[in-house]
Parts: sequence; structure tokens; C-alpha cells
Amino acid sequence: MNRGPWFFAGVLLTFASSFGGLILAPQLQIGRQSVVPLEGLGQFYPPARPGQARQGAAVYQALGCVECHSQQVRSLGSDLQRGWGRRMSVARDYLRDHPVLTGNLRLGPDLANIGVRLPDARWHLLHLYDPSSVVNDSLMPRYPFLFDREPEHARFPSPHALAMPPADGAPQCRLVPKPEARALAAYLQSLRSDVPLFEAPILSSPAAPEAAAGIPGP
Amino acid sequence: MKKRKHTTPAPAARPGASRSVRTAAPPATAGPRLIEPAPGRGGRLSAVWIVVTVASLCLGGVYLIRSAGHFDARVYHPYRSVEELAILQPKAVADELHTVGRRLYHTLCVQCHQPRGQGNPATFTPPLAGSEWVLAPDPGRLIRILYKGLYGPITVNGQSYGQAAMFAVGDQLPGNDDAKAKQIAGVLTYIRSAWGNQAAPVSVDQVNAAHAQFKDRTTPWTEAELQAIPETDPE
Amino acid sequence: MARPMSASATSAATAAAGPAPRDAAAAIAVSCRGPVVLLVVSASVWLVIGGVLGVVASIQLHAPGFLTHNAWLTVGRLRPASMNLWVYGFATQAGLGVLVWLVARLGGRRLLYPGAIALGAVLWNAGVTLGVVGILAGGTTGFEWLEMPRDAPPLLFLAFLLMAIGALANVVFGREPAGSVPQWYLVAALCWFAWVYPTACHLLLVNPVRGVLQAAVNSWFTSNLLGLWLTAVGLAVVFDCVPARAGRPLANRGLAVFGFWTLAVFGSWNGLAPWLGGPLPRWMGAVGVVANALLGLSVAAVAWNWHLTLRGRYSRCRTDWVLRFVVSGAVAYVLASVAGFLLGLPCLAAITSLTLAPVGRTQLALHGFVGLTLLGAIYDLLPRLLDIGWPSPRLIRFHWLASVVGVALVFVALTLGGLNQGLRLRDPDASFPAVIQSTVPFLGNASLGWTVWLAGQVAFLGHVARLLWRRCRQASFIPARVRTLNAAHPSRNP
Repeated sequence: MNRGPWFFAGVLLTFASSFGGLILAPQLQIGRQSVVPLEGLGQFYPPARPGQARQGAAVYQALGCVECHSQQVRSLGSDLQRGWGRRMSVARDYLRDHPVLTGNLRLGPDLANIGVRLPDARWHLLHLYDPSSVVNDSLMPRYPFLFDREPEHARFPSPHALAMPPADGAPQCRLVPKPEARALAAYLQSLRSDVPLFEAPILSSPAAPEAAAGIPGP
Repeated sequence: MKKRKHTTPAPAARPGASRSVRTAAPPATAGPRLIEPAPGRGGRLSAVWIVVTVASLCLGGVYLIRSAGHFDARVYHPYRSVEELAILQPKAVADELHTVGRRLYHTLCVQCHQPRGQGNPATFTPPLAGSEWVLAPDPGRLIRILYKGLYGPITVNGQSYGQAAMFAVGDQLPGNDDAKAKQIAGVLTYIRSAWGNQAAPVSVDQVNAAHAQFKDRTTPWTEAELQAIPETDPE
Repeated sequence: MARPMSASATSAATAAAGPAPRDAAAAIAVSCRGPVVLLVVSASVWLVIGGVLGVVASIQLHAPGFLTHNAWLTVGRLRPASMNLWVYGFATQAGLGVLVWLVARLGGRRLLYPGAIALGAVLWNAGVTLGVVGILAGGTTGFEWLEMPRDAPPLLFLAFLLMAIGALANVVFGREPAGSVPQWYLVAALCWFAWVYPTACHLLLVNPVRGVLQAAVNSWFTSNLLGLWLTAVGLAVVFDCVPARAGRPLANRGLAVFGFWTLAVFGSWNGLAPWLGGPLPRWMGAVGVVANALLGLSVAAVAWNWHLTLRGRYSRCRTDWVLRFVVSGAVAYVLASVAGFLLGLPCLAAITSLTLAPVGRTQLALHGFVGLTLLGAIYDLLPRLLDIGWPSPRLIRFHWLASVVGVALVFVALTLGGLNQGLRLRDPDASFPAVIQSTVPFLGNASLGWTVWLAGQVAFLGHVARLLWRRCRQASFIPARVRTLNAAHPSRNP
């Protein structure tokens, strides 16, 4: 008896089950999620990113920041106690993202709420130029190609110029972030997921989501 | 696929094997090798495998029943069911005010007072976190500032902020008087409980009661005027 | 009880019928020569290029000042570029080459449609080039293993279809009845890739799903690409090679059936296991965790079957280099599967998720299992196709040693580094940069491992080049086919 067709059918069926269970079912469940209105403010969560932040998302994508940075606050581990977020990330947080860059390796800290934790664009710009000038022990590479330099007393000084980090050895110059750098900083400032949702309530004590619910751990 | 019948394999020479890396490494046994049956159970699958598989499937099923959140898309780790989530939802009025206030703070106030309420000396904005003004038992002065604004120097925690100028938030808020009172109560409740602050929440009634005393005022307050208001305990 | 599979089946027939079928075997080898050599040699070139990029990227992880002055050379581009070169440039391409050779040989018939397959190979290489240059230029899509810009996937898929249809035709129209264990894996592998790759491209790049589902599709894709497509090709090589070189038929065919179908079911369902505790609804991670644990059954069945077949014959690895590569790859498969099983358990995943440990496990599966088995198959098939032996046993020995030591070093360093990272991060007061600094020694050892590994691959590429050069000199005036069919045989008999 020729079993070839049965074999094909078996391979296709087993794989179809995985496609149905892991792609179609989630799509039916959460594929049509919508943004939630914020009461009394006429705004929605997640908010649309301003234009510069959207450009910054493209820079983030093109430089491959996702290789080392995640954008997901997890309920396992110490993310919440560490202050990386006030609640864990859920599907709704990513509705406006494309591509969704959740990341799967943390050689750098999680960035899901970096806009809340470090709201200062100048900090981000200096950090991009030379991470170790603002974070001790940083292992992040520098991104000097995102910056120009201009002399200290330029005739038409750039409105965006920053002081050089002191360790750089070029005291006569000022640092002028290129548009990509400013967009990237704007994107980082826009990263936040701290609105309480039904599926992710914000509890008073970040240490005890399980204690508050009176249930044992996982 | 075609399953072959049970046959005893014919002994066969294997010229291919001895050829493959012949320059590099001649096989251990020179000459033709015999294909002999391996020591094993032949072509049958031992029942042990089936038993173990069925047992594992049962275990997996139990795990899924207990730990898959009933396949509800609203349940994320570490929560186990929708009922558990429902218990955790903010339900009291104070919680609702807190939520309203938090959103308002992070759209309006945050630009000067900063996300953690630390203020910004560069713009003469005093901090809210740990400020004795914010933590005062009676929120009357705060209610006044929010409705009518503040102008001139102000001292917070011993540090002077020279040219503080806060606009009249109450005039900027959308909605009627009730909606404004709710939002102001909310934002005060929020700043009195955020960033380590621990002061009592502010109710809508408190806001309305205080507002009635200065409804017709048109100019912002100054520090001296506010200091002159007697500090009373809230009921 | 099974009949001898694969090579042994062919050679059994060969021996029974005398020299004429051996001519047929040689004719099959010659018919495969064009497309398979093209696939295998270009795969070897990508192997080394990807290895160089991978070493640089690995060094950049612990020496952040290394080559940072150019956007093309940032770690965020080199790392995906090297992974894509490995997955598409080497593993998938060499896998297709080996697959074409295996289906032709197991089918017992000269290769059908070699032109289509060769055309597919050319298109495939064009697609890989386009995609990797795109990644380095900043056109990455941001999806793991699908970073190539949107122009490349259609080209790659078209090339794959040409090769896959050609290969399938050889299974369907083969002279020998199809049904050997390697053939199951090969046919299923083609079906799996043909489903998972265009589906993922469509759902991520063309008509993207919304929100976090993109991450789910991406995980489903990567786990299937590695766990089904590449794994199935690697397993086919082991199932082909082990019985043939142990000189025994496969120990237990029933067990092989069991191992295959458990892989087909659980291997396709385990993709979302790393998402337990992440931003996907709880049940998705839970389902992945269960499937990941159950996949252990398949691995156990397959490994036990190999062991029974090889029992008492392991010493053949000492002299048989092909067997040595393939058995090393099989050991890596078992190790990587055990590591995958452990890292998928919720209690351990709580520590190791998002650390270096899962990276180490993936590298062991890719470079240890898939890499070593495919390299073993290449050592087997190139001499047959070109009808010339490898010039230097020392180079093979060096290649094997460097590959095994390199991959082992990378795996151990990344696993320990990941455990260290995860355990330290559990303390919320530990400063994050300090924790990452503490992984530097582990990352440094991984770089050392990659460098050793790369040295082996460079030796391998040089060896292939020497082989080809010799072959060209030998064949200068005689048309290859005539020479192989008429002249080569007497010299081949022992």
C-alpha cells in the first residue's frame, strides 16, 4: 500500500495545527484589540507617537538596538522591583508599534518605560555619543557617527549643540546631534507603558502582585 | 510512506563508505563491510514509549488546565484567572480620583513639575515630592493655587524659587464646575500619594467647599496671601 | 526490522548486481555535480564571511569601543548579518545541497531537473547577498532571522521553490520506492520551510499583524526554522550516515517513526515557550512550555535509536571522519535539546529568560548540531561528486577539532554567562551595568570560541578550494562524465 499521501497529509496536518493554535487563534483573540480611551482626557492609550519619535523608531530599528535591549517588562524576575515599569507589559502596549521590537536579550536594560525613567533628551544624546560618560560601567558601544562637532564659538551656533563630555579631550568643540540622533532621543522619550489596564492593573506595592492577590507563586 | 516488509538484510559490500574520505582516512576495516543487524528490538516500538507519551500528555494537560489562565486572552502571568484580575481593579472612589489625577498630572503638570514631581529650578518650579505645601493636612491652599494660579517668589523646603508663575489650572480644565472639581480633587489626591508622598486623599466635597470661599477672585495668589489662610484640620 | 536504509540500501543493491549498478551510482553522483557543488561551495564561502562578521560582533559585545565609528559596523547590524549569513547563506543552502544529493541517491535515479536546481542556487545566492548588504546598510526589518529587507525574501522563496520542487520530483519519481527514514525528514523539511517562511514573511512584512502578535509570529518562525527545517535536514543526515557507516541497519524502525511524528507535533508547537511571563497571554507561553517538555520524547527516541545502531561501533569515529563529524553533530543535538528542555522549564526560565543562556543553546543547535552534521555530509559528498579524495587529512582533523572546541567553548561560556546574569539580576538592588560587566569574562570566552571555530572554517574553505583546484587540473582535457563513467572505476575497487 502506498502511504505517501498519508505521510504528506500527516505532515501538513500536524503543522496546520501549530499554525492554527499559535497564529490563527491568537489573531482571533487579540488581533483586533483596539486602543483604550483615557477617561476625561479625550486621549487614547497607547498614544500615537509624534512624528519625530516615529522617525526615531526607524533609527532604533536600523541600528539594531533590539539586539541588546528589550522592550517588555516581565512579571518573572525583578523587573518591577527594579523600577523598569509599574506593571508588566501586555499585548495592548504594542498596538502602535511596527515592527514590534520586544527583543529577546538584555545586555542593556529594558526600555519599555525609558521615557518615564529618563525623560531628559540631553541625557540620551550624551549617552548615545559616549555611554560611559553618563553611566559607570556601561558596556554599550558609542554612536559617534550620529553627531557632528562645531567649534566652541561658532559664528552660527546650532541650537541643538551640547557640551562635550569632559573625558572626550576636545574642549574647544561642542557636540551637535544629527537629526537621526535627535529623533532617536525623541523616540526613547516617548517609550512608556504605565497606564493601568484591566489585564495589567497597577498595584500599590510593585513587590507583591502575588501577595496582593493572595495566591501562591507560579 | 511505504513501509517495507520485515526482511533480513542481505549481507552487502559497502564500496561507498571506503571511498568517501579515502585519501584522508581509510576506514577501520579494509575491504567490504558486512551489513549486520544492530542489537535492538527490531522494528517494533516498545510499549514503554507509548505509556510514557500518554502519561506526559496527561501531565501537560493538567498543567494547561491549572496554569493556562483558562485560555483567556486577558490573563497574563502572574495572574491566573479573570476573577483574580477583577479583584485587583481600582474600585473605590479614591482610586478613581487617583486615576483621573494621574492622567491629568502626566499630561498637564508634568511639563513643569517633571514626571517624578521633582520640580525644575531652571524654570522656578518647586518640587511636589516631599513638599510641605503638598503634604499639608488641609489641602485648602493647594485648591486655591490650582483654581487661580500662583505668582511671585515661593519657598519650598527651605529653598526659594524666585519667580514662580503657575497658571490658573482651573480655568484651563474642560467641563463644567463639577467636572473641574473632580479633576482638581483627582490631581491633588494623586500628587499627595505619589513619589513617596503620603497625605490624605482630597475629596470633591472638600474642593467645592474651599472653592466657594474664593469663587470670584480673578488674580493669582501670592505666597503671603496663602500663608495668611488659617491652616485647619480637614474634617 | 528494517532493511538497510539510505546509502546502505543503495550499496546493497550495488553489490548484489555487480558493476553495472555501481556505474549507475556514479552516474547519479555526476548528475548531481553541478547544482550540489554550486550550493555547497557557495555555502562554504558564506560560512566564512558570516564567521568573520560573527567574530567581530561577538568582540563588540564585551569591547564596546571596537569598530564603532561607522554605522555599517555597529554590533546591531553585524550580529543579525552574521546570523542571517549562517542561517540562509550556510545552513539552509548547504542543507539544500545535501538534501538534493540525498534524494537523488536514495531515489536511485540520476538527478532530475538539475538546471532548475542550479538556477535556484544562483537566485538564492543573489537573495542572500542582497539581504545581507541590506542589513548592513540599515535596511533591517527588525524581526529575528527575517532581518533581510523586504526585497530579499521573495527572491529567496522563489529560489527555494525551484530547488524544492526539483528535489520533490526526485523523491516522487525515484526508482527505489520512497520510504526510508532520511526521506521522511527531507520531504517533511521541504514542506515545513515552504509553509513557515512565506507565512512569516507575509504576516510580518507584507501584511503585518498588529501589535505583539508580530513578536509571536516571529518566535513561531524562528523556532520552526531551526526546530523543524534545519533540524530535519540535520536528522536526515544522521539517519543516513549512522547506519551506513556503522555497517548496520537502523536499530528500530518503529522508534524512528515515533521520533519523527513526535517531532512533527511538538516541534511545531513549542515556539512560544520563551514568552512565559512576557507580554503574551498566559496560555500561549504555557502551551509552548508543555510542547517544549514533550519534545524531549522525540529527542530521546531518536538518540536511543542512534545509540543502539552505533553500539560497539563508536570506535569507527576514530578513523572515519565523516562519521566523526556526524556523531559530534548528533551529540550536539542531544545536548542542545537537553539545554532547550531545561531552559523551557518555568522555574529555570524565570532566571534565564532574556539572558545569554538561550543564545548559547541556539548557537549549540545551529553551529554544533546543524553545522557539524552538514559539514560531515559535505565531507562525504564532495569526493563522490567530484570523484577525487580530500587532499589533506590533517586539515580535516584541524577543522573538526576547531569546530568542536569552538562551539563547546561558546556554548559553555554563554550558558554560564547567562546563568550568572540571571541569578545576579534577581536581586533588585544589584546595579544593572555592574551585572552586565560581570558577564564580560564569559563574553570574552565566547569570542575566543568563535575565533577558534572560525579558524577551522577558514581551513575548511581552503581545503575545499584545494580540492576544486586539483579536480580542475585533473579534468582539464577529458569531459568529466566520460572520464568518471569509463576510467574511474577500476581504480576505485579496493
